[in-house]
Amino acid sequence: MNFNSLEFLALFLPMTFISFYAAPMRLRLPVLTAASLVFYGVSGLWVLGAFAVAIVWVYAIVIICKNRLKPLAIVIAVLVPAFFLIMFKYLTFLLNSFQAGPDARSFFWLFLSVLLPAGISFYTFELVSYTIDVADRKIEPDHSLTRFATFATFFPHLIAGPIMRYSDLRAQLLLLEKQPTLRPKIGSGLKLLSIGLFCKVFFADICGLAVSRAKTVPLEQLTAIDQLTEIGFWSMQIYYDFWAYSVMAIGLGRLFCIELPVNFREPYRSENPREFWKRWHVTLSYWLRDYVYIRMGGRENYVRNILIVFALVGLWHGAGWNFVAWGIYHGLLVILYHATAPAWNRLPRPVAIALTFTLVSFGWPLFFLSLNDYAMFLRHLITAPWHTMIYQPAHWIYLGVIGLVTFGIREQDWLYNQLDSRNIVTDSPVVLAIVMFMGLLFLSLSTTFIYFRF
Amino acid sequence: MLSISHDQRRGLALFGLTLGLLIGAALWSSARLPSYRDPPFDFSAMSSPQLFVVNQLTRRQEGSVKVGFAEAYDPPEIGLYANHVFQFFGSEAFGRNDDARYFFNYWYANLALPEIYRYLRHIEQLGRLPKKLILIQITSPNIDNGQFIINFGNELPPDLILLGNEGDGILGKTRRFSEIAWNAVENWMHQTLNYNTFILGFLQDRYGERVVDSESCWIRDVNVSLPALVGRLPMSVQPIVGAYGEHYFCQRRMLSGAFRRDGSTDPAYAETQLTQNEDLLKDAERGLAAGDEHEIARQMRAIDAIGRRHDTRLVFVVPPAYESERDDSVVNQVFNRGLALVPELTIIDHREKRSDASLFVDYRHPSPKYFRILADEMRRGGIVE
Repeated sequence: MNFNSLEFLALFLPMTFISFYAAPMRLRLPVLTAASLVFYGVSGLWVLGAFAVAIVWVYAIVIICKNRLKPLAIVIAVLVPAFFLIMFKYLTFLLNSFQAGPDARSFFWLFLSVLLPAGISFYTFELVSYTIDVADRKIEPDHSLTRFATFATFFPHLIAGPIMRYSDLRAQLLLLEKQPTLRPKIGSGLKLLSIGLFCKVFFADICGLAVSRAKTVPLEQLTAIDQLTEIGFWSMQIYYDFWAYSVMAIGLGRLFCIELPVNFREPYRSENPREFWKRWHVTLSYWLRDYVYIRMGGRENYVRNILIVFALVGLWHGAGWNFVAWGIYHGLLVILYHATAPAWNRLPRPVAIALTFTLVSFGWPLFFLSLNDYAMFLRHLITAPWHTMIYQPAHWIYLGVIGLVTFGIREQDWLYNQLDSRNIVTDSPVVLAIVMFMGLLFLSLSTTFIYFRF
Repeated sequence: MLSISHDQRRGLALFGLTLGLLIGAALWSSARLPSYRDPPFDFSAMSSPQLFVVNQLTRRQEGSVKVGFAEAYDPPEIGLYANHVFQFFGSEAFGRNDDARYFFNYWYANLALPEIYRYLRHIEQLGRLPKKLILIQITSPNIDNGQFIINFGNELPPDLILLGNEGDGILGKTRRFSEIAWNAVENWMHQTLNYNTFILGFLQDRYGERVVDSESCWIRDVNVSLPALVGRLPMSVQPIVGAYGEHYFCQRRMLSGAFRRDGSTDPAYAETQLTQNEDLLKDAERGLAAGDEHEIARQMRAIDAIGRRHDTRLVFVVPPAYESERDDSVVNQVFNRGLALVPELTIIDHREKRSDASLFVDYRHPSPKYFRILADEMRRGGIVE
């Protein structure tokens, strides 16, 4: 189920909200878990079954091996979720890479023909981090299957993050179990939900429509300005798609007294590629830092480790060489910054931001194009004429408005502002209701969140 | 228990009140839209060059024009039940464009097999099934990556959706009923909370006559042209700035998608581009998965049974998409498995006619030339005279 669907907003969410607050204290978590499983199960019973098996497996193995969680036990614990991840997400990629024949494909038919389970990369990483944290004795294993299942399934973060650590949620889940009276931040929850929905529809999806305009014309007919505009739309589409989901997730969490971490900290205002990754998909960056980069030795072999980590970032985003290339491209940017930091850091701030944004933006087409198509895209960009064909001033004005919001207004002033510094527009219930209504009316134009595929 | 501060309570009340008012306005606007089911529109009363303009109608209204006609008027000898993929299939394919009683194309929107089944059941109950031949178009799997074959597109009026497929046993019946009930609710929500419905509900009564004579539009030189800026606005917004009136529908671009007397649309007004392999068949966007072959077969059998009950020949047609050889796509394989389960049905499978560009208007839509080939094949096979 999508956050940007009428079924979710008009039926699932109100019903879950009422059930949750009407339920006795001891049933709050079971209600949340059941609702989350329904939320996920709409995608199909196969994927729901796989998800449930992965949760129970990790829960049981960690309990059974809690005093002996050595590497072998960790491997056993993550075996099932990793197996599902590989079979559902990476099998086609592996078969294509090894040029497997029809017999091999026929053998794996069941996995190949099941639709990629939504959010599988997210929940797999959460289950792995739980296992490793228990092994490292950072946390105690949870003996409550309900609590553990709520952690893994809580629907606001289930499909597209943020990637939660058990330590982030445990105390909050305990409160839900033990606190008779709950004081949810409903106002701010609805605010984030409304604004997230609005930006998904009017920023991300309209940018997506603008990108699809370029798809109606063969590449050879595009001009350089068209291609650069297309890159601009791609940048904003991806950012606002994921940003909107994360904002809605935080808002939804607040409706249920759960505070989820901010996953995007105005990444396009970053002054260098390293800073970008501290602001973009923050929970993924920290996951990879803690469980991969540091364990490989961190700065001891910086270049190698960064390239491996970013290749993994790419693979995590998608099963394809284009995604691997995208990851390595970002790894190279980080290394480039590392090597030139003294000079880079002397750049005037606007120049550093513009440079970082431009470099990042040139990577986004790899999200949508194969390596060959990307190479052709770049080659054409160099030789294409400098006039415009498919994009018009209205498109640039629109892109400019989004750019103004992105670069010109701080989120702390209008989105995550405190109660004592109310924003006259974005904290007005009437404005928020209109914003929500506009989002609902235009949902038919809205597409699935891009990160649902990861 | 839930505790909300006084300040929050006030804000929530304001939020709820405003949203409630706006949703109320959407409901009111939706209720104002005229239905073309009752009174129905009579296609057979149109003359050959006339067109029924569907621009500035909601998708539901557009469908209602066809549903209303199917409900109220005598059926043709050959009835085609299809979605937009077969919109250019006109009676000229049979060489019978002068005979309004011979063929009618009931296509609209994105009907999938379960919806076509309900549509036919409804028509069957009214005793208005075609007399000689029922043609059913199935969306070829590679056209939309497996979408719109067995999944609902929220296109039928709610009373038709409630005509569910019969399930097996109590469990099957319950499952089927909950699916149908859910679809009816989903369908209603999508139609009501929709920008197009909302805007058109306020403005639709400003438009003039929808039936235009395409020839006289140009001959009388009343072809209106809007100022460039107005013309660039979304269609449903144009009336706000005064772009409406008696000859509004005489604009050439308004005729895109307009229905001809036989229910088809004229490719001359189509604004599309032919792109090979336009659907990239991305794994993450597949509309068919393992196991769906059984549902495909079940739906096809249920549809076929309607024809058998009335001794009317029923033929399924699987059209080609303009593509390279992509037979090994997952959705294509699932679909093949589905077809293999129903060898007893008459199926014309034209997926292999994928490479000849002249058979297509665009990637998804076959051209009149293709439909002539299809009609010839049916004639040779004794399906039509």
